[in-house]
Amino acid sequence: MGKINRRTFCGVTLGAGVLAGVSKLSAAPAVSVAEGSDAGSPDADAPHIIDTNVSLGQWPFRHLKYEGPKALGDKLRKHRIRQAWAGSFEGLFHKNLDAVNAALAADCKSYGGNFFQPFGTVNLAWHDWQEDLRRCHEVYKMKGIRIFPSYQTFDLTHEDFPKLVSETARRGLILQIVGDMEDSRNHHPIVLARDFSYAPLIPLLKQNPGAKVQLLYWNHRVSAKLMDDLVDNTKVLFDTARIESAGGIDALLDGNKNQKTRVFSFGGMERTLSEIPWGRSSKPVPAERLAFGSHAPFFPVEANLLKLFESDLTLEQTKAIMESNAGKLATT
Amino acid sequence: MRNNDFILNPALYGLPTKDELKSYRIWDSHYHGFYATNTPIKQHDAMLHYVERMGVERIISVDIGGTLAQPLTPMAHDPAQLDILKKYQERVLGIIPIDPGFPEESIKKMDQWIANGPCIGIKYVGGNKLGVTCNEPQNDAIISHARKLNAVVYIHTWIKVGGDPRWPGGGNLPGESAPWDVVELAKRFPDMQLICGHAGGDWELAIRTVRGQENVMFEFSGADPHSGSVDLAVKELGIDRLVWGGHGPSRSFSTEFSKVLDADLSHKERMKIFGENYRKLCKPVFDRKGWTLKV
Repeated sequence: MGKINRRTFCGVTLGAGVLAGVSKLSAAPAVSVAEGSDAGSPDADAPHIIDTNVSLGQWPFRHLKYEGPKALGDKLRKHRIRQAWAGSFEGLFHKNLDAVNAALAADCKSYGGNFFQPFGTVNLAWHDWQEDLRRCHEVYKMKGIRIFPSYQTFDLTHEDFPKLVSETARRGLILQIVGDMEDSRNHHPIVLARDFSYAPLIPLLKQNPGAKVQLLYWNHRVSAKLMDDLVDNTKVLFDTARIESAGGIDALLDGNKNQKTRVFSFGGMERTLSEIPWGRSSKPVPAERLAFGSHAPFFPVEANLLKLFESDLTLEQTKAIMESNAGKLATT
Repeated sequence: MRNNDFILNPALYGLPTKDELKSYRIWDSHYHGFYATNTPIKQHDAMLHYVERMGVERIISVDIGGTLAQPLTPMAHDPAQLDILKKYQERVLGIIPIDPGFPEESIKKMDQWIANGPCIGIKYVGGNKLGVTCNEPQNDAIISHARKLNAVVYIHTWIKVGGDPRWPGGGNLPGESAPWDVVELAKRFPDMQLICGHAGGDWELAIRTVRGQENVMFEFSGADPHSGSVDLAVKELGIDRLVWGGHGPSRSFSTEFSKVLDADLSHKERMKIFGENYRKLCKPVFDRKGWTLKV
């Protein structure tokens, strides 16, 4: 039994903009897709997916079913995912992050086809993080980095955080900021992950308009007010990994004021859904601000795939979330 | 325009089609459509859109009569719930929250809603006024009465990390049962099957806890989806001890479906978790009421 509250829901609407068609995606060539090719069939136009939130390496607290590049890559490809942005679980605790990043780059390369795009880790709490960042970009040729403030003993008020934002922007790197990895009620009792707020991003991103920032598993740390501020005042992208509730993406995009009317039949009677009562009260979130993130192999990849069907999105919205929004972030 | 059709073919994405979802005969044993402070009926009506859209055959509301916070206090929405249960019995069933701190009043509610009403079981809520967990002696009267009525017994459980020093279960609310409380109760009622709800919140610890107590069933809803969780439950508990719940609207059907779809199971095994095991569990109460049920 979970109480429905603002932490649980992050929901709300597709703004006006009609999304541009699927843009040319990152430089990485698409790997061959899902088993059972549909080339030449009416399904051939169905979009593929860029998964912006997967992890390689060893989760510290148990073995995962699809851990490692072979198991995870094969699994993701079965679900029409053509590219996956991979961080490393080992970035949570390791001190020698260059070893973590080198292993991540090697793992991604080992799978082939540029399917996995490595997102290395830097930790502002460890001295000379700038060198780790430089190597991520210049040595391992990464397109972005991922940070885990709640585990890495710093928050976004850290004196070096503005430097991280400006330096990633200068290098054209995507900066992914992870809110949580799992429900804090499930933590190993010896672990006490720290609280932090995304709010300091807002002034920093105004100062760095070219910064490319994505929030992952952000939902427990973004209130409705902060969501409004982030949508209105920044260009950050949000992943789907922990968007919860029945029709959660519907609720997030539609909000309470701009509902489509849904007509359906139940118990032999025609009914109309004109409002999602559990939708949040903040402003609608444009579909351009969401990107598919599975949080695999920790979460089943099916969870976030199904969300795109559970919510009755338009084809344009679906394409944007599945592929084009992430593609634009990677290429602009 | 009807909005219950998917805009893309799920099979292209390695997902079940709408027809496949229906073929699982999904019974949502943990439906929270009525769980809303001010508008339970309105919320339920809205939820039905997603129930239909995701191919769910039957929903079992766990919020019938009163509220989770005040399970023994009649509420203004009770008559509307009763009407829905009678009118849509083929699609909507109900179990009633009780309060083990007040066994006599709980039994009275069971007589009203189960013996003389449309409901099929009881639910232990995640906490209560007097801080009574399900292992305490005063529960025996409630479970004995449930046995007499052939009622389904669902027990919310969680293992929340908390306390000083921190330990699993140290963060539970007063009266919020943990899986080990269910095991203690189940030992006193070996002929009753009790559902340990929410996979204890921490499925790895909960599976270890309940695996030796064969009359404890296991249900997964209401927690983040973790890959591999159902595989472990099947390995340690056996497929016949697992039941499925949706926990909407606070959880998505997608989240809860994915726990089963992630597991290495045959179609027949998925059917067992998605509905067949629960139907077997409630067959006796159906028989008692003279209702037909195809398991």
